[in-house]
Amino acid sequence: MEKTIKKKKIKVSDGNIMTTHKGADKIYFTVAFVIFAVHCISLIVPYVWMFLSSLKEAQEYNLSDNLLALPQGFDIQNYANAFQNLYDPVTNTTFFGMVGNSLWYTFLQAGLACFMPCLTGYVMSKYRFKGREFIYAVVIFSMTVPIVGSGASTMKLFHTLNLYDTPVRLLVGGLSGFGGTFIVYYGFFKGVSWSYAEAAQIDGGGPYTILFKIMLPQALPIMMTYFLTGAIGAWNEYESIILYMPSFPTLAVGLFTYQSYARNDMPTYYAGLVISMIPTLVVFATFSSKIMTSVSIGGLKG
Amino acid sequence: MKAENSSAKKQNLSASSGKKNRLIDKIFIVSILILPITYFLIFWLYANLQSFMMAFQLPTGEWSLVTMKSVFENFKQKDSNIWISVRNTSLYFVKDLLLMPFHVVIAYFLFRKVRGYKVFQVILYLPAMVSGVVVVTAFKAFVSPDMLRSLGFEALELLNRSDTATPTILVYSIWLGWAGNMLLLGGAMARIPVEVLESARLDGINTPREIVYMIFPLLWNTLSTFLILQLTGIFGAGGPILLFANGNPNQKISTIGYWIFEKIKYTGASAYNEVSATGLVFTVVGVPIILFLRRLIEKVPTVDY
Repeated sequence: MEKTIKKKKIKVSDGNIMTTHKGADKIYFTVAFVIFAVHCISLIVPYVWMFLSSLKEAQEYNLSDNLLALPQGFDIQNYANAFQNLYDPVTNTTFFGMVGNSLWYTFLQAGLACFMPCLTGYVMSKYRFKGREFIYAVVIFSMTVPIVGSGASTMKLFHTLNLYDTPVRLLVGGLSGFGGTFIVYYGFFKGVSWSYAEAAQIDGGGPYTILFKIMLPQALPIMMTYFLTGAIGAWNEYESIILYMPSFPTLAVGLFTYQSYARNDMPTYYAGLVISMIPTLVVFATFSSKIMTSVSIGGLKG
Repeated sequence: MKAENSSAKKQNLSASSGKKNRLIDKIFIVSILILPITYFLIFWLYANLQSFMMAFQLPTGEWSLVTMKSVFENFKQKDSNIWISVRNTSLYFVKDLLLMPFHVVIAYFLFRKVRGYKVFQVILYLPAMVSGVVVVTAFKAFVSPDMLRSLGFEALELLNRSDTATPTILVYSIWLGWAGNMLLLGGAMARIPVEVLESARLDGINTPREIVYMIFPLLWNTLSTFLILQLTGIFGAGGPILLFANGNPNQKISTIGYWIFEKIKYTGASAYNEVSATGLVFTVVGVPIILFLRRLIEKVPTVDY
């Protein structure tokens, strides 16, 4: 009996539990592998098809009975056409104009969205002050109570404050330091030891020194993850821009509005879509391990 | 007021320097929180109060119950756009709820390093990286009658018929939604002490039981947060309706979120009061239910590790 137990123990703990799949587990993991593989192929196929279609001539695409047919030639002229011909039909913004809008929108939006909640999360988790519990409770309440329809009054407010259709709206919107990201930072800073800060205090460091030299560097991996995912989200954003900043169409917005004009030349439109994917894919390919860095969220009780 | 775990006493600081430090701390806290709090007061508190008042006003600003009455009239018509939006939003919400355990299972297999997990992780996350405009365009091309014909199926106008448009968008959301909360769930699983899982393995637990009896309870803290946030966002549930909408009224794909968007964007200021009044009705109906459900969720004990 003792021998069997010993044998069992060795069997399990001599390999890494995360990677060792034995017995029935092997079947579960094989089935999971097949399902993942099939699904991942199904996710990639449309992008590949879109890329191949972007290499077709408009006539070839329009007259073909089989949309899955490979292009007769690999013509990259559509890509040149996309740069020249695609524009936002509502504002007449050129392709490069839309790229410019996407760039400043992305950096501003992602930068503020990762930085402001970090500051509030730090102060709320590390400092005790009058009203702290109240602020926290109100923030959680605002996050967990579904208030519907305030979009209309927000729009009215933007008009009243002259923020509608201006980039300043983005700056103002970025001042929001609460929400889901705040909760993540709050949980993170709760777990960060205060001992380094104490050492800095003894050396005469003030709260700003502690924040910028000790605490923020520790939060950099999370900030980086939020910045990257936020940047990708902002690059791809269309709805809020259509609603609040229609005069500043980004590439995503322009491609959306151009859609109805593209019916006769879908390959050029697809080329534009492929071009719009490149920056996010490059960022993702470069920083995928950073993006996949563990981010965790705690409870909302409070 | 003091910094958490402060060892001011240990440092034997003089009373005056302690006061000075407290003042600096106060200035620091105010300087950090003043802008977010001001933003919150204006764009959350004031915006919601104004929305409440707008529900009882006419677009001209006069106080009146006419807007609220017309909202109730809208609700009385069973085939009205708002009812279609409520029905579709409920469908998306139920889909999201049902997918949550599925997301845990997916995250579990990736966490347990199923073969090729790194590649799968990247590909599953791909739709979140690429603009919805791109993904929806590709999807629409694949469900277009021409493509269906090319694939050997009947050439149906799936996105133009009321009986197939919403189910097609639901399929789209499910197809793309495998990576839902993958990062946060993966992060939560990575925090589970490996010894806990190892000891369960020593006791002979298999994969399904590990997921049900170990992973779910250990993740409850994170899952309950997702559930609460999902409940809070119940009225905003939906897919990228704007990208699927093609102006054809036969689509009947509207959701509450899209209905609000459409009214604000295309109808303009004359619809603001109607949006606020409809929103108020949803809020009044939804808040008690959601607060009750939140209480229930919070009663389930969480595991600290």
